[in-house]
Amino acid sequence: MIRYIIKRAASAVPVLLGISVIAFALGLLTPGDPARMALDRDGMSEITQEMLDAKREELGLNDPAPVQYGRWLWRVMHGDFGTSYSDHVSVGGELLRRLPVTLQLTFCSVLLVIVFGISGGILAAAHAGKTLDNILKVLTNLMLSFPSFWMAILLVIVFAENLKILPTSGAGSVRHLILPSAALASVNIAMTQRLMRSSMLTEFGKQYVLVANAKGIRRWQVLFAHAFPNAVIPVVTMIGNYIGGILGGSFIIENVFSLPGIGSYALAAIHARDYPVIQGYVLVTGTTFVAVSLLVDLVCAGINPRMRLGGKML
Amino acid sequence: MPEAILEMKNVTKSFGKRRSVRVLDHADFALEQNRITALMGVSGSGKSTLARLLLMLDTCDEGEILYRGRPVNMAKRRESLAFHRRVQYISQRPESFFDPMYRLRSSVMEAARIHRLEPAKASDRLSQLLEQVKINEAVLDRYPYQVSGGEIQRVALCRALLPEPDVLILDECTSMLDVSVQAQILNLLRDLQKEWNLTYLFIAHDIEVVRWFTDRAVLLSEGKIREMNLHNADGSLFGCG
Ligand SMILES: Nc1ncnc2c1ncn2[C@@H]1O[C@H](COP(=O)(O)OP(=O)(O)O)[C@@H](O)[C@H]1O
Ligand SMILES: [Mg+2]
Repeated sequence: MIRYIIKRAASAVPVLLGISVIAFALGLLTPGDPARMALDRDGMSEITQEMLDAKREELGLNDPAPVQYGRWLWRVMHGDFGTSYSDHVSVGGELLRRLPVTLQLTFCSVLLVIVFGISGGILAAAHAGKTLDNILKVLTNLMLSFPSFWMAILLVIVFAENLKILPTSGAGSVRHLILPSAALASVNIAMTQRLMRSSMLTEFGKQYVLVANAKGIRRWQVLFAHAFPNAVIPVVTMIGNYIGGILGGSFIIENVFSLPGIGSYALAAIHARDYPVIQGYVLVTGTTFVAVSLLVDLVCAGINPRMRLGGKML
Repeated sequence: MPEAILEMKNVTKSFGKRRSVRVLDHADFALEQNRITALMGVSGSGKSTLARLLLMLDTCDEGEILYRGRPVNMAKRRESLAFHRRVQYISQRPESFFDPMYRLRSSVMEAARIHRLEPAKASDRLSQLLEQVKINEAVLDRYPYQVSGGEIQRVALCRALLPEPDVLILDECTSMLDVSVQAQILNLLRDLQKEWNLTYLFIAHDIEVVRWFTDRAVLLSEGKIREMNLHNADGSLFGCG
């Protein structure tokens, strides 16, 4: 198990490096001259060639790209993401201020995916072919066919404007997070539910479930003590993958609900071609995703004895 | 007339949309007490379905299953529990016979827990059974994937015998094993049958094995069950040999 952890953690390093290279390259591809951008704060003063050359030297823009990358990576690892082109505020500080909002949103969405996706899948499997299964099938079909922003608008119309039980926008309390996280989670809940259902049905077909039934164990005990632990392993892995999508999809939802997270920050930055901000966003979400998949893989390995104890037959 | 311990009367079972595939068609069949009865039939003829019906894990479309001459009311927990204690099952596929998430010991002892066997007595009996099937106790601390097919079948036997059953339903329980291991298990099964006065339903499709193992066999084909004469029967009848 320890060897597995080390191997798995080591495999995350090249991915992180890849993300950082992409983020850095994004900065290199910037149209316009960073030195000029840095000097041209107010857009009024005259910029001379000497000033530009000096600034270039100061920012290290004359060095070869790998040297620049190394220096940049060093700064980034110390939390210095540079300053925004548009408001000249430190990108690192702003990301740090906004990150909790996005993480809360993601966390709530993932929670909804886990709770409703898994329990819905179990229910559907337990009633396979019956009415409840068919109802859930129609429901998941609907959820899969609505994109998240559409779902967001629908939820706002129903729960905020008609029923007036939840706020339409803003942040600050759990109530503010309910609609956005539901909108964000909806597609993933449906996908998780389907996967959980088919995974449960696969387990139902296995001999040990038949044997457990033949022992005289109650039906719900067979379901939860035997079929569920086996069926949930592939589902946990998939939810781990969905987290990337949820994190990435959050910028649409943050915008719809005016949540001050890193997604809406990045979206504004894309409009303004504010590359340091986009760089920072790519780095932060990429790193979060890598960390989460690492965690999910370790959890899966932890619950599966075959992974935990090594795959070899004795 | 030998006493029937488990029997099916006029049973019909179909699968598929609008029950179009009829696997059993008004079939009658009785397991005689303390005897080995072999059930033969080509693959897909419905042997495992019949086993599931006898184990009360599936319901008949028509007809009924009698245990010791009486129908079992599965809706009553006490009755169904008592039935599941006395009629045990061993399957074809050793690799998925035990839940992969649990150590063998907890799968084996689960039956003792469900049937409220006294823990001390149950573990005594388990040790005795393990000795009989020649399995080291330490094997029980492993997970199913860490044990060979032959060992799994031996542990499965201990598992089945732990709650003191009357009937064992053996569904092609040796077909996935090597020939030498197969012979060991069959010998073991025969010894156990004598020692514990068990009744076997031995599902198989190898006529030589059946001939060696027992003197009574029935054939399931086209939904009906009829007695076979093992002396004249021709092995080639069963395609898969
Ligand atoms: N749960 C089920 N649903 C639909 N068809 C089934 C089911 N169980 C068995 N069958 C069908 O019943 C027939 C008999 O299967 P089975 O009892 O497994 O045969 P055998 O054990 O003799 O090989 C097969 O045609 C199989 O497809
Ligand atoms: Mg079969």
